[in-house]
Amino acid sequence: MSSAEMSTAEVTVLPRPSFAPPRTQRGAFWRLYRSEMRLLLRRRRNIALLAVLAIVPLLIGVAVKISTPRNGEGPAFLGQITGNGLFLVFTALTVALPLFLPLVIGVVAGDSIAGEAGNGTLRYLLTVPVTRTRLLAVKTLGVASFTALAVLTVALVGLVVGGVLFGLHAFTLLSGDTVSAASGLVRAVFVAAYVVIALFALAAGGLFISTLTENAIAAMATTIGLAVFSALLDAVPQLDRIHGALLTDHWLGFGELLRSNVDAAALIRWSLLHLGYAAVFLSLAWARLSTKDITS
Amino acid sequence: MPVVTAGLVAAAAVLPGSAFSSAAFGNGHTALQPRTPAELLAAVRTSSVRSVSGTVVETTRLGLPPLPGADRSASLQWQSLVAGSHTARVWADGPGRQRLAMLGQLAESDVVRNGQDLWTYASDTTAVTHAVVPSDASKAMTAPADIRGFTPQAAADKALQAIDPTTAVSVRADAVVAGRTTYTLRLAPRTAGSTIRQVLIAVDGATSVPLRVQVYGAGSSPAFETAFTDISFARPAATVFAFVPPAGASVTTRSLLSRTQAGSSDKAAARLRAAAEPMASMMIGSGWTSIAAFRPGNSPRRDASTATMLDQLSTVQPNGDRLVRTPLVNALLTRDGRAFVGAVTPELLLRAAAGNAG
Repeated sequence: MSSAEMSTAEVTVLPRPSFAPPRTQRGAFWRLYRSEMRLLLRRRRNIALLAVLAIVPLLIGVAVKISTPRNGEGPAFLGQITGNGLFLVFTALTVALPLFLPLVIGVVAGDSIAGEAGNGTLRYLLTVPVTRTRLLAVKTLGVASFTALAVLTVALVGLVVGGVLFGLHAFTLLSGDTVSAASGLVRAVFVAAYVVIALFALAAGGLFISTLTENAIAAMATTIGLAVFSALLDAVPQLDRIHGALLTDHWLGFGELLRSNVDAAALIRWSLLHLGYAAVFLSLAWARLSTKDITS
Repeated sequence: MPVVTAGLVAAAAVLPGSAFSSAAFGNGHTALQPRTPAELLAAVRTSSVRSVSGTVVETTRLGLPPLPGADRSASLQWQSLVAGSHTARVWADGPGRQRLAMLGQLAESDVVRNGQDLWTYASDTTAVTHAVVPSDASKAMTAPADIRGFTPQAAADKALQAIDPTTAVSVRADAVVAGRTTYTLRLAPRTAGSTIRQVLIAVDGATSVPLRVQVYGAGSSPAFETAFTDISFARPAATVFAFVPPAGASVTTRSLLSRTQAGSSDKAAARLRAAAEPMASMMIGSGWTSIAAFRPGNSPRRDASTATMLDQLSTVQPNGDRLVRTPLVNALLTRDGRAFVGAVTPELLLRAAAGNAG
């Protein structure tokens, strides 16, 4: 309940005299965003979620250090980590993508509006006054920021743990060609950016689901269910005609960035698919939020 | 607003595809000059194109259950190639410089030929093999056995080499493959007994390079298909073929037999083959109805899962032999351990088994 009080306290400072020039209006948006981020990052639950994400590369790194896996065993690149710590970034992302990252995003996105509604703070927010469109924009930006933070947590902890335990060396691509460690790092940055865009589609879905209910737990579960259901459809061979259009199908497509000849057109196509999902979900969320009766 | 967004996204997703993949807008794809089958065959055989790069998609529909994850693996093993769809990138700069990269999810297998060097690399095991190609080696020897016939060019080579008097060759209506207008060459058996209804080869109108090969069994969709989805005839960069094994990789050296060696001592070659493959094979019949007969023996590849798969796929004949039927290839496994495999009707297989008793 403390967070709910905090959110009210944070935003009550927002109203400006009506004669305020448009510049302060823009400032108000960023203030609202900062307040939203403070709220997200101060929640113990969210910090715990980020800690769980940080444990993934740590655990893999220590496990590989203790017992060297044979090549071809376990998740992708596991056998190569001993030779180059940079591979830990990709192994950790591969392990975290199917469940851990959707879980974290489901919790944060599902809670974003349904949580406020459930706590009864949503109507206070709207009497501040903040227009519903701007509220959704701030919530979207907040959820997107947290998505990026979640991916960065996995990638950076992976990089640090991998670098400390195994060192960063020349990087062997999937095609067997070798590039410099710096070039490998640049590719890792692009991989992280691709994964953030891919997961933002799910975050937008969570935001829409969050506008449908006042029960935050239901919204979280449905968002995670969205990712699981998509992955399930993706695993049924009889449905291979629709696989290419599924939400989760191209999440591991970041492997394209690790080939000698990167197919940039494919990466752009997949990213546009993810952004398309996000656009549809966000406009659905906007339609829902701007027409719904907010009673709590 | 949501409807508008959804509509815009759908339009953005659908429009570019239809604009590129069909001739709906009437641009670019002009009708080709009519050619006789003989002219077309000659054009394919004398095509002067040396440089090709592009993406190849191979699809096999034999009704076999796909191995778990086979669609996403980059494995070059036949077990993962007999079912599902696989994508590869290919580069060629003359016969001496070629590269094939089989794409998998977070995986890739590469075969690189650079002059005398033949490298293979598999990202999942990081295993490297290296072989020195004899200067007089035949074309077939330079590709690993499992991927021969994977690209449209290789598959078309195989099909065209097999043309004999029992083959009816005709030219069908033009098609569009990888955005290029192609002739369609149709090969069909004149004789009964083959399960192959027809083989369609799409030959590029401008360069006479085969861009697609489709093998039809009884079904309406091809049982086997390999096609370029995009292709360029620009010369690939030399770096594509310059393969240096990654540091720390275990390199296995393989030996390839040169053609003169193979020809000079057939017995030695046969012994070598027998050592490499634990099955002595022979061909029965010729052309469309040829049947491979061999004794599988105690092949190490035949593990428990293969045996279970065989049990599920096969039907037991009255005399105890087992028959595996697919839309394209049928196989007969006799009780006494012989195997007969061919793109022929089960009746022919049974007759072949009866005629080769013992």
